[in-house]
Amino acid sequence: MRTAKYLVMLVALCGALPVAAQQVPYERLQKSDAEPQNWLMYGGNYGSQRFSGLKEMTPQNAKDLRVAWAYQLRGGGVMESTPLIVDGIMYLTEPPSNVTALDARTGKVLWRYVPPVPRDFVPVGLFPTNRGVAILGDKLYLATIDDHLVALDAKNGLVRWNTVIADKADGYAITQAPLAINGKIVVGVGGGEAGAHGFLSCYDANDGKLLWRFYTVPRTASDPGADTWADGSWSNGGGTTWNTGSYDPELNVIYWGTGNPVPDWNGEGRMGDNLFTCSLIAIDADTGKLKWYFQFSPHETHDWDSSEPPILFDATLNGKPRKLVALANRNAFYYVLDRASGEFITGVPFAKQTWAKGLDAKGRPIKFPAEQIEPSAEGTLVYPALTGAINWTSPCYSPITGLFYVNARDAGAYYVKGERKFEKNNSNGIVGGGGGGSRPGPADETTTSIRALNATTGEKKWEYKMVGDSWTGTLATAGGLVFSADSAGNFLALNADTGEPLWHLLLGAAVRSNPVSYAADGKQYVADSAGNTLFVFSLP
Amino acid sequence: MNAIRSLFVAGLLILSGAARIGLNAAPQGPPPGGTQGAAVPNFTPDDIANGKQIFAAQCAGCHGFDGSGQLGPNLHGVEARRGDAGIFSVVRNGTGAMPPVMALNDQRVWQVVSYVRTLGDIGPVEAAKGDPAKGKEVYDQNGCSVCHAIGMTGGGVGPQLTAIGRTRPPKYFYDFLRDPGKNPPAGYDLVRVVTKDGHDTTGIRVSEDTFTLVLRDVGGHFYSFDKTKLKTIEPQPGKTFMPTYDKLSATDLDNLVAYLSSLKGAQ
Repeated sequence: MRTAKYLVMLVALCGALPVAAQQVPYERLQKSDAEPQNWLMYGGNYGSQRFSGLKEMTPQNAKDLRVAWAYQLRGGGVMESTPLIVDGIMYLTEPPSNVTALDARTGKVLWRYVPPVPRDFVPVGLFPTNRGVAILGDKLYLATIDDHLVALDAKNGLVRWNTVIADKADGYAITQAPLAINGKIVVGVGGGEAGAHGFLSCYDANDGKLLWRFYTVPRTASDPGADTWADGSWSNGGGTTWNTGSYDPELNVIYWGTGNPVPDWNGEGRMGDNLFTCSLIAIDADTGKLKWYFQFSPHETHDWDSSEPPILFDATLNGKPRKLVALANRNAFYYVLDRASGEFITGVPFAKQTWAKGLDAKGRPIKFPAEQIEPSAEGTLVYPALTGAINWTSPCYSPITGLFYVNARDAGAYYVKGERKFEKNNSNGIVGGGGGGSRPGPADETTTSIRALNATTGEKKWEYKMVGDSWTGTLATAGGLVFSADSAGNFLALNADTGEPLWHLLLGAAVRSNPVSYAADGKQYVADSAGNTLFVFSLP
Repeated sequence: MNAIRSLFVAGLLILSGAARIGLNAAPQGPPPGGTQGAAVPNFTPDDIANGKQIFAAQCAGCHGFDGSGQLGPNLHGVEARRGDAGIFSVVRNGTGAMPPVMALNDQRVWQVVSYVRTLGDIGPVEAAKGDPAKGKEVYDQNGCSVCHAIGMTGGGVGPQLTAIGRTRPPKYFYDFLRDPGKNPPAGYDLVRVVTKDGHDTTGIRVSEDTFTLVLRDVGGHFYSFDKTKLKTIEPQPGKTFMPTYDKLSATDLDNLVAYLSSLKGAQ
């Protein structure tokens, strides 16, 4: 049997026992930093730091990086997947919701899983793609575009259980990687523009039984936050949870960003702060109860979701050790909060913005006058653009440099206010909408830069300016490198201390995913995808 | 010819040739009657309305709600460049950074096409006052086809004019012909670069990324520059390869505008 043969080969390479090679108990996830050869979850570790402890690649030898192998999608679409690498096996997802297991050393395919996604399903406001799987024990966990949570046997891709998270006819669609914690799988939903009502769900990892569900937008007039939606407008939905969050095992708290209220650009029918949209929510992992929330953009009207990955790190502030969470928001502000209490610590712009004078002592934005920033019939030029100062891609944090590396977009857009009326998605999958939209701002003013921020203060240490509108995350390594890419598809390595460019290679298409690093057979690799190809780099 | 140019012109002219073959081979729009073979259906107002909804849900995120471009390119006038079948192919199969839209069946993709082909249309406008047939003579006498293509005839340095009358009103032509540098079309801005060893080149910015700048000169030659070897990169606002036609007689100008306004592509 071919699969068995590969397993034998890979086991031999890794020098591990077959069972050990396929078992990822919670303890391994908790201590993922101790095994830098693997990439065990979407964010690299529970803090979503996307930091690799590998040191083979350095500023001195980065110029010698080269393509070790490449893998081309079997179907179509753009790959946005963060692959997992577990004991020599890479688990990659492909559009719309397929899983492919590869030999991480050579790229040889081991097995595939292709879920039966209906071809006539039209998700509203998002690409039908997938950003990765989670692993726990001997199973992989996949959330499909048509809202199934599927447990696969990590050895062979066979389905062990399959449960429906939501009804796609209500506008729900999922592209994110689930988060595996102790015996549980946590997963959110997308589809806000269709009127999907946001929630975060937790399932038993063994059998797929729903353990709890937290709704991010009220469902009745007596629900918490309902008084922040005028005229019962919470019924529109929104506040979806479409990007993977983080977890603190000691506090046993899950941190997850929430999306925009709907309709996006016409807020007249939903006056109020619209809780808990555009917020970071802290959820007790056992009960699903809200411990605290922090709303970045009250009554948001520019489609600036707060779904960006929250990065957890510890630091000493004023002589006291603090557990912190940092988030570079689509609204162009960088925030640092106390992750135990939700207390606002600091917030500063990390990209060009023209909508707020600043933040008050509690972190609430002090907005410029409405006529200056609100969408209008003719279009109001505001920075950042609809796509945000950052979107779904991930920043990273290096515990060595103490820097937060973000690919920041400086761009504006003319925001247009449309009809206030909002119609929820219906079963033909093509209704919904945002109450307006945007058209591009001055094109020649759009740039993206890799910015290194002091993680505790947000102060910029260096920046590397790139041409165009890049959609790539960042990766920091213990070897002293930061990897990312520009909009043309130049995958590049920078010096993590200085931002000095060290190496680049044009991959021939836009890089639309987050880089990862791992080791196989003792050798360090860096992987990222461009267009419909995954490229894996190494030193000679 | 500097070293960089000679090195790249040889290679890039091959690409240029390939691009030209591609252009000629690409669908130029369905023949009159709205069909290309049996594949292109006749579009109804309901198709266009449904296509508009799908566009808002699936396409507007990159192409903007009015199709004028954002992360993805401006789609105004795309039907003249690619034809209905070409648009269908891009939606179905993807191109460049654009993914194939796998979630739509063929009928829905055609509905998207039916809407996209309307983007940028200026609709009914006051008719130009000149004589289109005489305007074609002005067009030919002034050598416009050296740089511009109409259908399968003409050069590729300037924008293709096959359906320019659908997306530009007569007033635009008057203004542009008198002062083309004032408002050049997107993608035709000029850039002047000087290399560290003193070579001076001005051309249309074909592409630019963090490391490389590619220019095209008025003769259609490509120049690829390593940006670390450039002393200066200077955009040339107000300048264009397009000559000024402010010396045309009023009658010739009227006739030329009437001709350009009559170019509506294959409809």
